[in-house]
Amino acid sequence: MNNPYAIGKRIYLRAPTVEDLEGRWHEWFSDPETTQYLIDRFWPNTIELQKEFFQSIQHSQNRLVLSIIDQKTGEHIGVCNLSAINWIHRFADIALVIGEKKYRDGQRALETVSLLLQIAFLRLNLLNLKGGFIESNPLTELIVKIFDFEIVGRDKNLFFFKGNYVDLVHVQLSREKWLDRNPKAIQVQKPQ
Amino acid sequence: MNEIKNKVLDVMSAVFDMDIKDIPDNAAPEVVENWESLSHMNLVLALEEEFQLRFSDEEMMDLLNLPTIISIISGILEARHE
Repeated sequence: MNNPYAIGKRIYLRAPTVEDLEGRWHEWFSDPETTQYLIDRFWPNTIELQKEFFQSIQHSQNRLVLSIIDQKTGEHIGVCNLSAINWIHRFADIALVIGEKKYRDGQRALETVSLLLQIAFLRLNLLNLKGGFIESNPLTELIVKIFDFEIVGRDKNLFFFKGNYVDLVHVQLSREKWLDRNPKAIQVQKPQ
Repeated sequence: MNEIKNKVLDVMSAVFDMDIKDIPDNAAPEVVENWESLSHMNLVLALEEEFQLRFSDEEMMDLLNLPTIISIISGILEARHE
């Protein structure tokens, strides 16, 4: 593993590298299947835009972007982030994309979310995570259920999706609720 | 253990839309064609409902194949009776 920041069973998360830029990262955000449920998904991405993004996150204190790496192959398979981190109220937005289609087995997405929740609640000391997803995104809907995110609101008929206007669903998960399901997490983190 | 295995196989059969006899003992996404993204998530939720439990994040990361699923559920159920 190269510079791991958080380690799961099949994947690990690390800071993005220049080598990631030279791969397929930028292509994921042009691909219609990959971007169909993303909120910003209309313009093609380019390696130049990806480089600009990479530069913009280098010293960011309110956005943590991490590359998702398959442990077995070392392949850069996706990207995830905690963004709009608010250090006063201690909340952030959570998002992920598994860009490489052959790794979309569900397990790696769940591992990524698990690791991001641990990072947010135990390392960054955040109290709430929030997110939004376009209604009719079945995968995110299931992730929301599995991790006990609560639906806290909707923007009605906001997004144009495959010929229809659909809702943007807002979700939130508190550290307290996360700890209910992960009571051992705090014990593991206690200093010796 | 066999009772747990049979219940897990029932759940897998329903989620993956397969006959139980076609689910191998080493069932995993690499060997079961219908075990893909959506079905994996549905499997997690269906197992939680069937066994009336909630997986922790750590346990969820270990739900990689049939043997580990049986082992994790057995562990959770045993811990309940301790």
